[in-house]
Amino acid sequence: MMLHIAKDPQPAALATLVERRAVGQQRWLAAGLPTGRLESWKHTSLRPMTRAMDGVVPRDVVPGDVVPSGETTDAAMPATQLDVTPLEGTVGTLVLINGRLNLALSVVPEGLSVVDLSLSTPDTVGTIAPIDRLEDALSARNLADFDRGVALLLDANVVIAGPVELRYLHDGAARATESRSLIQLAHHAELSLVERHLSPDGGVHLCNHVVEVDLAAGATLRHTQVQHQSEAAFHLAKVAVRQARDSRYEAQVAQFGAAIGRSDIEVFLAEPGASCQLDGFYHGHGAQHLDNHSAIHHLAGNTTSGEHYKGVLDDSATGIFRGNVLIYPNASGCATVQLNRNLLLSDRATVHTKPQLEIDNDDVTASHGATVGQLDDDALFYLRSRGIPTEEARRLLIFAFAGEIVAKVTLPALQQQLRDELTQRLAGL
Amino acid sequence: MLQIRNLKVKVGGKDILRGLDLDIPTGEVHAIMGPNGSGKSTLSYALAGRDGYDVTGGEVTFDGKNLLDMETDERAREGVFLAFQYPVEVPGVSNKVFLKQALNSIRKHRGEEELDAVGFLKLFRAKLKTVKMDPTLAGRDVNHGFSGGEKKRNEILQMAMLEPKLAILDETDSGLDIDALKAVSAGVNALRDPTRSILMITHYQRLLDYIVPDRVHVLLDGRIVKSGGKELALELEARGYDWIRAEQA
Repeated sequence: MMLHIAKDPQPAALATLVERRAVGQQRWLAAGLPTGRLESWKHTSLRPMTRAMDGVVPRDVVPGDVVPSGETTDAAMPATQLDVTPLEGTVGTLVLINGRLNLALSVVPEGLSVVDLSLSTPDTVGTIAPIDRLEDALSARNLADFDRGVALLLDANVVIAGPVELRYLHDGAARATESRSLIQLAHHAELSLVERHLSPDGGVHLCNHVVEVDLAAGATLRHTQVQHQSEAAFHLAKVAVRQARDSRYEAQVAQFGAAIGRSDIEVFLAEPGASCQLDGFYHGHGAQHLDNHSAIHHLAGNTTSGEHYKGVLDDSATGIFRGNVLIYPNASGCATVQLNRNLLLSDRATVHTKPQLEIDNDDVTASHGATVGQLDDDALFYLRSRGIPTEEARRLLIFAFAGEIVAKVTLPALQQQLRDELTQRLAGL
Repeated sequence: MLQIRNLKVKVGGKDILRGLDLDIPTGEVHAIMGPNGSGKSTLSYALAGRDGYDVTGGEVTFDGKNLLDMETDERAREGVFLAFQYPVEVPGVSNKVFLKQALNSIRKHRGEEELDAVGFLKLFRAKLKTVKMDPTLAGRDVNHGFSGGEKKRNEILQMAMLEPKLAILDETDSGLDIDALKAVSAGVNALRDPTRSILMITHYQRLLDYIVPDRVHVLLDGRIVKSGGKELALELEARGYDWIRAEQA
């Protein structure tokens, strides 16, 4: 079997960022918005987005067209919408308004270097997230056009004492933003990072966001990603991770918001001993469409990966899980576990789940599975037979289902917020 | 406490209870015995209000109220408790959270103040002692990974916590070794009370050595066909059910 993607996570030697941006522009103009003709976009149509964002996102891209990016001047966000209170237990908070860093509202912890990408850009930006595939046209567009975001750089052996939050506040001015972050950890550095996307005013906007993570030998990143934008908004996020020897990447993804939310994580386990664990939870209601994609490339031997996503879908919401684990010909001694479980609370809710393994090596331990089900009638009857009202019993069972993933969020204040959010969303059951 | 008149129940379109009559006065302990397929579990589930157990006729009056009009959880709040033959595992829900929620739902219904965490734990620890249950086990997820005996003990712990007016024990003795049977029986006996009625549903007489009933009823083909004192259980153990069937014919 021939593996058809990404032989090398580092695209061909493109010396400068300017050159890479130009290639990104070409890719984007050639490919345009992804459509259902692509396997990885089969179940996610961006048509509702182009309709809602008329004039901001092009309906069709004709090669040679110049595609306008989002507005470059941000209207000031009203102070009432600026929730900049730090999460308890964090040691730093960087506030980004419509993707643009606002240093005055931010607290930067000691030991962490922060670069405002709207002012200057490290040369390493754009070397990890793939842009040479049709599926990744949005990453290409982002590379071509991003004009905001941050780079977080940690020197070797530096361990930041507590979690740092990147808080993205989006307004509803129907703008499309191209934001990017680069998280670069030198060898044996450690960071717990929380990225939260919030839209306080509940309006329409599109956030096309790319995160590049570069972990040197022995580095560890815990990366909690909370997508909690307005349910009229559109969130398209690509996270690309390159891992050197013995590095560790842990992601906890929570998707609650957006009309269309897509979390796409791609990990390149490039050297022996590298490991990653991706955990995700999504709760969709109304007509929300929450898409969770991932690809884990075992490029080197003795690399391990694990993936555990759970979804709860109500009303006419749609949930998608597609996880691709690829084990390359020379990668012996790899281990991977992949599991996706879904709970459908309504007969109009939909889930598409596709865990996938592509193995080009015999010396591998791999398991994968997916389930789609409803609340357990026996358990529901049991709880009710003890006097617990039906709605409360349903909530208890949904919490029990979600709890396993929510518990992976190690920051207590954030874990509590996620539980509260879930409680609130389940209140109408 | 409980009056059942001409109760008819279908399961999966099949008639299982075919006109069952039963009276359990307040404070009494009754046992229903019967061979497999006679409708014992159907009776317990129908009284608890489980979906799929369709009542097609008859009346059930509980504490002066029409039980069949109530939802499952309402029946429990009114004071009906079913100890399951096969208690359900609920991974992810801690036994304490579950019991606190159940207890407070019932207390609220009775017009009593809800217990806070401290008050709940105090009661919980006291009741653990009466059923001799391992406290670490009791704090885990509901029945998850429990042995058969532990599950039954957990049922009795719940019963002790929730203090029902009517407890229905559905084959509580099944799958128990003698030590577990003694412990569970002691827990039930501790709950015997002039204000509480207990209905034991069992296949075997041995449970009745430990929990001595006031009355014994024989359930056959969906009807109570014979009632008597505790000595009836011994007779059933010795002679089986065929002689009763013969009497009926």
